[in-house]
Amino acid sequence: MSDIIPAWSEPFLANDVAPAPFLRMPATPTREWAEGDCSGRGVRVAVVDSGIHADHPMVGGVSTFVAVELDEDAPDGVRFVEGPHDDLYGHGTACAGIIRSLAPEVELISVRVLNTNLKGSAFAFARGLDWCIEHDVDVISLSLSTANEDYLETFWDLIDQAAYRHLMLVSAMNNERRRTIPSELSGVFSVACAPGQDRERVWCNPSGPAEWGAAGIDVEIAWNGGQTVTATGNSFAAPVISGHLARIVSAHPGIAPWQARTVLASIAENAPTQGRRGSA
Amino acid sequence: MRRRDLIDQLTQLTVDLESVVTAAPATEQLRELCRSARLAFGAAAVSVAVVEDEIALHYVASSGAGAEQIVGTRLPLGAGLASYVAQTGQSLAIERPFDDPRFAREVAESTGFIPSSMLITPISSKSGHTLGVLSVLDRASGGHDALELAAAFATSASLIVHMVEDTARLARILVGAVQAAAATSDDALASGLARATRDLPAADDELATIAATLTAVRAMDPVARDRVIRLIADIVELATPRRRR
Repeated sequence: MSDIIPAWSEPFLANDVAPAPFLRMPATPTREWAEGDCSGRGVRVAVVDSGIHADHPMVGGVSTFVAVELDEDAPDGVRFVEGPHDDLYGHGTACAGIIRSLAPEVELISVRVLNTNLKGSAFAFARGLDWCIEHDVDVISLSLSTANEDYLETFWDLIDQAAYRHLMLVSAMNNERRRTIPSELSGVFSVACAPGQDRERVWCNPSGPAEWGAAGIDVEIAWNGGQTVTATGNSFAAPVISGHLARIVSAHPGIAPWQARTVLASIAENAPTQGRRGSA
Repeated sequence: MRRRDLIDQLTQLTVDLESVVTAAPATEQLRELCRSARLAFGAAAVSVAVVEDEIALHYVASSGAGAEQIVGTRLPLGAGLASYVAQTGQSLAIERPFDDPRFAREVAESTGFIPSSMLITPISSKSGHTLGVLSVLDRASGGHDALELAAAFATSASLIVHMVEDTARLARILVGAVQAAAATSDDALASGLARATRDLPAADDELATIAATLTAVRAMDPVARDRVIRLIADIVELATPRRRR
C-alpha cells in the first residue's frame, strides 16, 4: 500500500476527521424552523459602508466602530481607527436600520471604508472586508461595490476566506447593468430589488447573478440627522437579506453559507409548495 | 512650397490647436447632454459634476432650474449624495432628500431650487474609475427604466469627457512632433513654433518621442535609413510575443 498522501488530503486522513456540517431539515420547512425567534440574538452583523449614525432611532445602537483610513506611513497602507464615528452620508445608517428592523437583537458593527478622498477607495473597501473576516463577523453586509477590475483577485480571495470560515457575505448588485465586484461573484449572497416594501418577503433566483431578491423600491429608510427618506436601490435590498441571514445564523449557530442558502431558499416567496414538489 | 510658407502654416497649425490642447471639460457638449436628459426625464434640472483631483466634485454643466448658479460650484468629497455616488460608483434614487438637515442644503438653496427627488448616477471610465456624476432633479418620467436611462446619459457624458481628453492628447502629440521636427532642421521654424506654443502644456508623451525619432530617421541618407528601418523591424519582431497555436 502506498504511503503517498497527495496535498489537501490531510483533513480526510486524520484520526479524528471533523464532523460534516449537519442541518436537521424538516420535510416542510417553516419560518419558525428557518429563522427561530427572528431576533438575531448572538449574531454579529457588519455594515461596511459610510459609517453608522448609532443614535438614530431606527438603528438602536452600534456595538463596535472601526474606520478604515488610508495612511501611506502605515505598514499596510491603512489604519484601523476604533471608537465612535459619524456616518459621512447616511447610507450606512440606512442599511443598519433595515437590518435592525428584521433582527432587533443583533450586534451591529460599523466598518467605515469611505473617506473624503476618491483615491484608494477600492483598497479601503477590501481592507475593511478583510477586517471583518479576520474578526469572524457572522454576517457582512456590503451595499457598495467596485468596478475596478484590478481588485478582482483580491475580492475572490476574501470571498473564499469568508466561505471557509462560515461567514455570510451579502453584496448588493449594481443599480445599472454593468459588472461590479464582488456583487457578481457566486460566493456572495448577491441581491437586487424585488416587488413591494415588505421586508419579510424574499425571492431566490437560482440562475444568478442576482441570486436573491428583496424590498428596495420606494422604501423608507433611516438617514442622517435622525430623519427618514424614501429611496430606491439594490443598496437597500441587500440589508434585508443580511437581516434574514442574521436570523438564520441565530437559529442555526455554525451554519455554513451553502446550508444557509438552502434555508433561505426554503422561505422564499417562490419556493415550491409541497404540491409543486410532487408534480416536479 | 517655399520654406517661409511652410513655417507660417505650421505656426498657424499650432495656434489653431491651442484651444484643443488647453481645452477645459467639454462644457458645451455636456450642457447639451444635460438638456437632452432633462427633456427625456421631464425633469426640473440635470447637472454633471466631474471629480477633481480625487478630492472634490466640480459642477461643470447643467440645464434647468438653478443651472447658472450650480455651474462652477465645487463640493469636497465626504458630504452630499452626489459625493456618495462618486465614491461608491453606486447610483441612488431618493425622494425628499432635503429632509436631512445635514445634507448639502446650502448648495441647493444657493441655486434657488430645492428638489423633492434626486436620481444620481456615476459617470465611469471604461476601466471602471469614476469620472463624475450625473444628477436628475424632480424627474416626471422615466418609470422603472429611470436608473438605466440615467446610466445611458452618464455613458454619453463619459464618452464626451474621454473624447475631449483624447483630442487634447493627440493635439499635444502633434505639437510635440512638429517641435521635434523643427528642432532638427531650421532655427527660424523652431523659434516660430516655440513662440506659438509657449503657453501650451509640455508635450512629454511617449508617442511624441517616437515621432521625433522617426523624423530623425527620415532625415538620414537612403542607405542608412533602410538599414535603420530593417533593424527596427527585426527588434519589433523579436520583442513581440508569439501566440500559442
